[in-house]
Amino acid sequence: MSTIAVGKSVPRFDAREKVTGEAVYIADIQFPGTLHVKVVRSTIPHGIIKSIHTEEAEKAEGVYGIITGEKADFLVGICIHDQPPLARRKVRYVGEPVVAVVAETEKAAIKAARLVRIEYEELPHVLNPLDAIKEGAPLIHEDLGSYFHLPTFNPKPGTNIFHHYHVEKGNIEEGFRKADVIIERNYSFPHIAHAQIEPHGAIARWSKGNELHIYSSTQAPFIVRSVLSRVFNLPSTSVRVTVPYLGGGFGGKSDLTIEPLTAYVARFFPGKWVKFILTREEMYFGSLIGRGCYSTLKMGFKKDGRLIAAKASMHFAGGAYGDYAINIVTGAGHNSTGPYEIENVYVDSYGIYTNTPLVGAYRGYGHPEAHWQTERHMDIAARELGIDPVALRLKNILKPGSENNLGQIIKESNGNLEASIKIAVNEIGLGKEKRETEEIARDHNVRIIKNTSKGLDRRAIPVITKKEEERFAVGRAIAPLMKSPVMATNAGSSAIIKANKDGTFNLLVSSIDMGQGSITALSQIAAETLGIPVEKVRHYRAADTEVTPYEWQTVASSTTWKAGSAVRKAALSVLDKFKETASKVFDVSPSELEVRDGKVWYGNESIDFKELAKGYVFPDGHAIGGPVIGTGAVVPHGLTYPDKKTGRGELAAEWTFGCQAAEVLVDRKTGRIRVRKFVTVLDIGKAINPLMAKGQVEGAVVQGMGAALNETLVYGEDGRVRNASLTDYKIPTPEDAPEELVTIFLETPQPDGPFGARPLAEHGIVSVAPAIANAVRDAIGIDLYDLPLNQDRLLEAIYQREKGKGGDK
Amino acid sequence: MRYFAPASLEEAINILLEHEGAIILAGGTDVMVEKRSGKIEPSAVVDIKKLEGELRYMRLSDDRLEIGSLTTITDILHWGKLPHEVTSLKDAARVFGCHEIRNRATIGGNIAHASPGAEFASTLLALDATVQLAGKDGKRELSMEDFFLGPGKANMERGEVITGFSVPLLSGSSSCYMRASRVDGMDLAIINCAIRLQDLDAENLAVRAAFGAVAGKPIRIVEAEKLLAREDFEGVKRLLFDTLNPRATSLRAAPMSKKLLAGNLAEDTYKIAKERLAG
Ligand SMILES: Cc1cc2nc3c(=O)[nH]c(=O)nc-3n(C[C@H](O)[C@H](O)[C@H](O)COP(=O)(O)OP(=O)(O)OC[C@H]3O[C@@H](n4cnc5c(N)ncnc54)[C@H](O)[C@@H]3O)c2cc1C
Repeated sequence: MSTIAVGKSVPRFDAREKVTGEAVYIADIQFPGTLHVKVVRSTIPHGIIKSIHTEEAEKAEGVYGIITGEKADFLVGICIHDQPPLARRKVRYVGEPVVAVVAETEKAAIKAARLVRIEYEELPHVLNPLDAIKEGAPLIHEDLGSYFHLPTFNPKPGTNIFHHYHVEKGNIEEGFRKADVIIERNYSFPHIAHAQIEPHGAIARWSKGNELHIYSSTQAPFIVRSVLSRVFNLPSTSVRVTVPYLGGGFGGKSDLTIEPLTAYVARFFPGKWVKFILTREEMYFGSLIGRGCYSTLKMGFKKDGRLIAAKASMHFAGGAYGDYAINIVTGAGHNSTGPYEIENVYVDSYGIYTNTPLVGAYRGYGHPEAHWQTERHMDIAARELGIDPVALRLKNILKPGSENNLGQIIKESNGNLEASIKIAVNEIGLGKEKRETEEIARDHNVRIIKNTSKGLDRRAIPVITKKEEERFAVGRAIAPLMKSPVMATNAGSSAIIKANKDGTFNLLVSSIDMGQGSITALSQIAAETLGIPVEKVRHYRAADTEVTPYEWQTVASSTTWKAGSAVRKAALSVLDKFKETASKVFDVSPSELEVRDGKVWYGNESIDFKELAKGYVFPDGHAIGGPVIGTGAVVPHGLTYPDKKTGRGELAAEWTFGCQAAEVLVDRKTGRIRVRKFVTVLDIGKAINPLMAKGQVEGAVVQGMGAALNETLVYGEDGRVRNASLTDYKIPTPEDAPEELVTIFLETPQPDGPFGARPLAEHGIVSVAPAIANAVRDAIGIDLYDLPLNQDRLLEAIYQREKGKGGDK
Repeated sequence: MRYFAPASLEEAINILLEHEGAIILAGGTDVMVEKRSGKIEPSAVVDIKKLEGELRYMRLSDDRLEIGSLTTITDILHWGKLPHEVTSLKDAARVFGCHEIRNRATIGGNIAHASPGAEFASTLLALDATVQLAGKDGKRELSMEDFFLGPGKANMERGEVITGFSVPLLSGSSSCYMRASRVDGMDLAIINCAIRLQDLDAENLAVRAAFGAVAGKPIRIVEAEKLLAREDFEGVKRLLFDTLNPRATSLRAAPMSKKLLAGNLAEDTYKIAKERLAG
């Protein structure tokens, strides 16, 4: 199929604005007379607020007011309403907002905030979810039983469990009885930070007529609107949410975080804009963090390698409030045993309150946690069974016709996992003989797009490496993956396209371009459908609940696939209207018309879009049609609620399958792991913009390497995050990217995706950690179960082994 | 907080003496970070960048290399005339921060800040450099050993300014600097090691070995130097493992890791310095 916009590596439209600094982000917005908020945060992890002393702060220069949670008569939340906008009665983590100081300038607010004194009665606290479910653990929410929650969630009042999701398939006991080899291990994935380049912020104003307008760097303007209109008891029309450019989200700005606080505080100052921008440090405890999963996985195999039973129990440290993590618990539960067909499955996934910052969405949404356990496990199992790890996986993968844990049947059109694995194996050099990747793709009858990026020179690599080969060990391994989005069954998207008289078009959606490139990709979809050059489409740069049409939220890698489908429909509806009018001009039926090159054709005669955009004017001056606006809307196909007992149902709207592979170099003396080559193969249906698609995967891989090798939030005994800065929380830099980064896309079209596209943006992160850890095992023979695989962990393991104290299993 | 940008060294010294709680601002890559975090609250800032004419230089003279305190890390990295004896300075500059930081950060600021893991602290210590100070009573010169007192503490009087460093260029010598870090891109050292070797005769080598981020200040470990001179690397590892006592609160690495890394880093650093000695 020859195309004019889709499938082309169009450079992103927002690039120039962003590199020149013209792009406006939340912190840049400055209304006259703006008031600034600084929050006084809890210094203890768990306790009762005895008293709050604000007298001195109130007297400080420039202070407008000091707000506490006392007057907040609502709880925030979507799936479970469990959080006050400012702490009331109790604090539940170090960093919880207790008092908001509102002042003329940010400086004045900071100064006054230092004068606020809060007295607490400390309560015992718990940081680890496994401790939090023990008998006698401190209870973080005494009122769990009285919180509103949606019926699909399952809190356990009287405990710290705010959600339990259970999946059952077949008969697990019988499965294990029939198994020849049973393997059980514990795994952990710590809390990590998104480290977006832009800190979160919001600016709110209540009009004197009791209407709220809030600007926010959110991925979810309609969620923010819906929650704010609920808690303030206002019609949707009285709450307006505007989102300017977003500087990175990765899930950390989804759902809602600081918006209820900002709106609640602003309410005390009607007519004034109230601005609350987090500092870099606050991003580690004042917004959302990610992951934090402690799991046990038990698998039963037949001698020949058939995986017949899997039992997973995953414990998520959700933080002090559960609403943000609640769907991750479910999402991880969906795919907790990886891309395999297993007869007997028993999954328990628990969301557990802990006295830590709040866990929310983080690129991968439960899947990196699930794959960390499963893909490590498959490698370990292969060795115990004496079967090649690739062969063991190929024997058990989900294929067309297989039934997944949820009872859904996999179709050919869901993508080609088998080809993905074989290509990854070949690329990383684990195949019996090196073949051309194109040849393997041909065997499987799939289209591929391959790209290789070279890394930068590493300053720190010692010159000595050449001479001491025995010191460095090379290892290679793979880790397949699958991911499905977790979404509301009615998670809709919609789009509006307005035709202009010069043949250009305005595109309005409420998906957020937080760097992933949706402005460009959605414009490409619109242009392709309309049959015009992409430059003729202008995507509105902001989202605004009063202007742009409904979007559930920009999460779940769903924009190109789902919002893109809405855009395509909107473009088709524009064309229908053009044809409708043209049919009257030609006096034929619309079905006899064709659209091509920006014109509507009847045989050899044509009418330009320009002549149809505002309605058609006949030579005598009389007009028909009217200005053309197209709309399009979609909801995910056929999703249902999970069955109460088995947890099964139509829960995944689609899957993206793939496989990752790593080649690592381990320095036995220093415990440093360096990733030399990393391969990602994903069946993405269609690369709408191959350049940006590759960028998404490369970014995801390097971000995943951070979590695999280094990143973890370090808590003190007192529950404080000790490394809340970019000095102490190290994320990878371009110099840390692999020497060779290979990205291969397969294109098995997705039937309900625009031009066959399916989600890909998170997926490059899913199996990074297990691919690296499996390669480390291959290199030095040490199995690791806890992330990150940092120098401390490696050195300790190597040291213990050398002392003959075990380590290796 | 007041801001001054004196045009001469003398003026700078006078302003510092007049204003209690005043601090020097060079590249500002430590000052700005500490000011923002509230770690320092200076009453006045004395920006010495106007003294670049006087204090930003690298000169070779009489078997010594003279480096002005306002010399930036980028200056050092790209200086074509850096003598091979002091290649360790280039090693340190290479791994230092990132482009932007290297362009602003000065060697004087790096030393005055007296951070135990600073790149140039161990490097200059191993090279047996001296630090030159100017104050109200004139100039004085100290060895690096005498200069560093503890974390963030240096042997400097109020009103004193580091003007430069003097590094001996020993014939038949070589040097190397290496660090362990968490990531290969911008990071601070977990620990670091700087070594200078000098050929004494066909059989004997003189070794100076300095370590950073293993104690409250960069330190020479004489026992380790002796073992290195004998190329007893296992001995060095054992010694450092047994004797180092790094603080447990470091966010960069556990004490155990530092103890294990120190000997290996010393061995690597030594070996590269030795290679350089050969040619
Ligand atoms: C992102 C980042 C990365 C960094 N990476 C590294 C790294 O890899 N390695 C490393 O060692 N450091 C690193 N640093 C720390 C810092 O850059 C260095 O210590 C730098 O050399 C300080 O120099 P400066 O000129 O910026 O000093 P300033 O910040 O201006 O001053 C530092 C201190 O020295 C004093 N001072 C400055 N000049 C003089 C003088 N002539 N006489 C007396 N006192 C003086 C100041 O009063 C102040 O107390 C990094 C810092 C940042 C922000």
